[in-house]
Amino acid sequence: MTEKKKMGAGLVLSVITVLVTVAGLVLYMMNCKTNYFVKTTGTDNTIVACLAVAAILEIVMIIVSVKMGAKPVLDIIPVACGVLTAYALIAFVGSRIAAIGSIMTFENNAQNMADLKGAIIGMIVCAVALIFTIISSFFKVVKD
Amino acid sequence: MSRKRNIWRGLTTLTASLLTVSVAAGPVVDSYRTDIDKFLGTKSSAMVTDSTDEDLYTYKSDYSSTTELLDSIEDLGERMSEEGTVLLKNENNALPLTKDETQKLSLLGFSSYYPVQGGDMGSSLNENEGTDADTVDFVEALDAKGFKINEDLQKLYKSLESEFKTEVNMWGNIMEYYHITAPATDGVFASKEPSQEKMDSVDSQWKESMDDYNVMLVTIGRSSTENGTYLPGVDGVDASQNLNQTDPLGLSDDERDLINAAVEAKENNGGKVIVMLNNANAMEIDEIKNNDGVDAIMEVGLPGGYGFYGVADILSGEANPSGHLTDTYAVTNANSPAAQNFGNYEWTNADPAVNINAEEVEAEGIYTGYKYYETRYADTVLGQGNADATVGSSTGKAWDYDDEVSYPFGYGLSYTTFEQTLKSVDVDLSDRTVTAEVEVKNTGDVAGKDVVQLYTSVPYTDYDVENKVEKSAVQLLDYEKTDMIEPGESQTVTITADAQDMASWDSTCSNEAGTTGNWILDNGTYYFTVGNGAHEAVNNVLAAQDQDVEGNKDNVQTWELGDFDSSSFAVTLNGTPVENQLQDADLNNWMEDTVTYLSRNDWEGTWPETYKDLTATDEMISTMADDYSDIEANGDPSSVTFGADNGMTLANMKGVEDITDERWSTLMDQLTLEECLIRTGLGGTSTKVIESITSPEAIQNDGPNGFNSYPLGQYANSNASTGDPCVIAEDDPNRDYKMGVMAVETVIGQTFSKQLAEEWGKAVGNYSLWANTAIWWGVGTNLHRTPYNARNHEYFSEDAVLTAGQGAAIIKAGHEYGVLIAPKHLAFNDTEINRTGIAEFMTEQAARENELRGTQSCIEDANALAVMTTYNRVGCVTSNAHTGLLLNILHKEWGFKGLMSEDFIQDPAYTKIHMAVHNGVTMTCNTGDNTMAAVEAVWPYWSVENASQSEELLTDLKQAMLYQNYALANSNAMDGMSTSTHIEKLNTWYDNLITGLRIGFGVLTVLCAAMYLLGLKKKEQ
Repeated sequence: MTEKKKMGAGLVLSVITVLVTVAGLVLYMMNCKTNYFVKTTGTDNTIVACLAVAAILEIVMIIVSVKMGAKPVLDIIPVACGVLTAYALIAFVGSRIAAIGSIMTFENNAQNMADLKGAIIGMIVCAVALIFTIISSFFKVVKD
Repeated sequence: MSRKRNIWRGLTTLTASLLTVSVAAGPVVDSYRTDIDKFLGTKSSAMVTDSTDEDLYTYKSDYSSTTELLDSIEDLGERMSEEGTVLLKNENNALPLTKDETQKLSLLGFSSYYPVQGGDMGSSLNENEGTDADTVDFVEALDAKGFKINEDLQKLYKSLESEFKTEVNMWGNIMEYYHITAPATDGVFASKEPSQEKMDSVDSQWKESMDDYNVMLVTIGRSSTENGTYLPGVDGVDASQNLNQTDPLGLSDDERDLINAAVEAKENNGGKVIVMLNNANAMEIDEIKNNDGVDAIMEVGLPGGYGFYGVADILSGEANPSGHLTDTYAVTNANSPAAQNFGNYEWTNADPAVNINAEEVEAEGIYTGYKYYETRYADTVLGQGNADATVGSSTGKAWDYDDEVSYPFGYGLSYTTFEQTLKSVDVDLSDRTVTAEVEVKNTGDVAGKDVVQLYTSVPYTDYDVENKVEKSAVQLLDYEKTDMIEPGESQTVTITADAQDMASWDSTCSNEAGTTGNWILDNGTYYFTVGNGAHEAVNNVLAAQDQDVEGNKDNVQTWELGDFDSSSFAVTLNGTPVENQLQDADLNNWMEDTVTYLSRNDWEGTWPETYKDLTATDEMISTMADDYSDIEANGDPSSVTFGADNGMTLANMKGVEDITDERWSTLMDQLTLEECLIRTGLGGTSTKVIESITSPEAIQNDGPNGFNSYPLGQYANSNASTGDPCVIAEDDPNRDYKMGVMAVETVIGQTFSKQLAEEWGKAVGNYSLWANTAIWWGVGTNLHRTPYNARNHEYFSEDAVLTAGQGAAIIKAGHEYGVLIAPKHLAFNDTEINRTGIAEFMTEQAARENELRGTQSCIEDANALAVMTTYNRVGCVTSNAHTGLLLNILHKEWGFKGLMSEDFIQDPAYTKIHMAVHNGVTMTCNTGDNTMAAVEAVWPYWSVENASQSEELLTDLKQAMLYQNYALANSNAMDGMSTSTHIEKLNTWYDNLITGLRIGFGVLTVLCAAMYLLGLKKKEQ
């Protein structure tokens, strides 16, 4: 009971943030492997690194917070996660703009539309990850 | 305290994240700046010129206002359909209508009210309202011309509007079409014509309503679209409709019943039935032709925004039809040899990762369109080549022309009659010309124009059989349209044709290059004749050969060639020896003895099989997958100069047509290597500014029915102080006008009028001057290999000579106004199915005599300064990478010097940029900001380091930039520029917004972080 009491709302939000960020990462990587995007854009390792590091940092923050309490030094992590996820999101969107234009017109077929749908879902999930990163940063992972 | 810490941490995260978004958005915005500016109507840079008394505007418009400009386009659009509408049948002089009959029009068929006026994508109609030249549909045009239509029927069809709707979901943006649509590349055709039962349920008296409106006009429509296709036979029809439709381009029962209902009504009301075909893809209309109740058939094509005015004039007799078919209207389209290989034929070892998807074997050889039908007909008459075998027969019996062709290529009727007499023919091989004089006499009662179609029939010899050279029994050599000829009057028309169009490509013949492949003229008798279409022409020739046919042998002239000739066309106009360049397009080159190409020597034995389920060999896979990323060290790279300070700008070369002028080299030396790599790598929808030589940004525009990418005012100059004679004021009501309003190319082809094509080129040129858009991808020179390509509306014809004649006339006229008009797509964009990656296989003879002949004149004679390549492969090699096609034929043989863009390829590997630049491609469609990092993110090998080790690549890069800037210097993109012109970057409102956000979020981030730290410090204290 004592342990449970120490958990803050931020813990739940941080866990969700990790899950959504990982989901965004997986969806991005899957989208990069689709027929259309494997040829046109390939995989941007910077996006992969940003999302992966953001997810790892969130996990580190959760573990360290639970074990050692809400140390001020850990407060840099949500900021870093926000920056990393925001960069990944914009880079993801930027890499798909040309495809959106092309697939909706010149290259409109079922396969390409499916690949584009995957890209849009991935971008939405990354945006959600950023929102959760920001929201969770307002909450403590563990109570003082 | 902890609460404050959370808040400041959260706010720091929020502001830092938004700061990141605003910073990261910068390069993305830069990558798409041209398109963002297009969308927002902003400008990111300006060419600033010091004031001068010099007239900096080389090219002049014929018009002094946008009103005059638009009026001229509207007028041309009307005349294009007056001369491009083809009257196919006119029993009992059903047309033109009397004045009284124009007040009794019953429009049947939903396409009467929802006509197809352009393509669904590509050459789409721009509907304009509130301008000086608003577009109209059929009903509006009839109304404007004083016709009166049956309003009961109009109400009936309008009440069914929702049933005609086709929705295309473009990611939340639902496009609604109410006209009939063409299928997607993986779709089938579905008829939307209401059934009789449906019509009865809406208005049980609709048939009776036609008693007072007994001129019954039934419109049958078929749409066209880029990225779409019709599939031959029942496979292309929505079987669930159960409408007894055997081909998407044939009639459905609902259409059939509607025509029959009109015919039945005619028996009661004593009126007349006219069928109007609203299509660009040749339909199967034999049952309409043979329906005695149908009095008239006219083919109006997709007439654009003003063409229905012209159609109304044809109906009323205000205009006399003079259009002729650009395609053979076959009884059963699917029975042509080309249709045997039109579809989706995927490799068994397809590999989407490298765009290895499908193949198409053009096993028909040269025998597309009338070259098949008329040649086979001739051979049935001559009793040779097993021409009367059952293969390809629509009846299952011996092949008979009358069972196969409804209306031949080149056919068309008039309200008057003409008599054409071929007075003389002079062949001058040294001058490469065939000159014919034809007297045309109007023997009827009304004035009209006529088309002189000069055909030739060349010898088909034992040599040809032995060396697999095919010969069409008749082929169009050239054509001209007469002036308006009054009844009883005559006009002598002189045609000067290109004699090379008589020559045949012989891949086995030796040549001046010491290899094989040459243009030949067989020894023997050459026949020349004129006729209302290819069938009449071939009959004339057969009659002259003493065959028992209905031909006029007196209208045939002959020319004897004593000796086999392989020298007259062994070098091109610019002195380049010809040789085989496209042998790798023959599948047999890769897979020996796989393909049997159709030969008139044995129609039955060589009839094309369908080449499907093929497995590409390892060699083919390797070739198709090669991205040419290896840049090998060669030569002396230091010998290629970059970054010189020679003090020139592109304005110094304004109007310099001699590309060998040494100043070009001096100017190009100013380019930096980075500029060359960036500009060849990243293009998008415009050329971009090149600072070292002050080369301007030139905006690209699609497509063949007019500048339809941007409104007139998007890039127009509104600053009257610049001296620009084509200033458009900010409050000009025509600023929002869009020019995608002309009839599609098939209609322009049907005019058989180089004069109208020339007028179209002038219209485009004038519009370009006002709109400040210099590049127009507007002349489709691919051929109608089959009627099934849903993109046929963007191409003129099944015939290369007609294509070349119309295309060259447009381009040449546009030159006078400095617009860069590009023929597209080079080459063999013969299907929209799997177009990114499809491997098109054919013989070199077919390639050169059919599709390439359609483009050749646009380069050699009209001096086109722009070309677009294709999505498809030529054999196993993408068009961009095909050196034989682009470098050796286009540049060397034909002498092309100009900018060349790929089609909208988004796959960097498929662009094959290394080879593309080698072959003279100057623009690609990937986008990115103006940095080497952006280029290398797309092509890691396209780097300064790699390029710097190859003299060949460095030379190619500069050559490509020379071609592009040579074209710009000889275009209206340079208007307003002088040597004082410099580029000024402009901050748009969105640039300012981004900067403001960066500063704002930066400050807030620092502030929040400081507050957070302050809180911590207080807590510690």
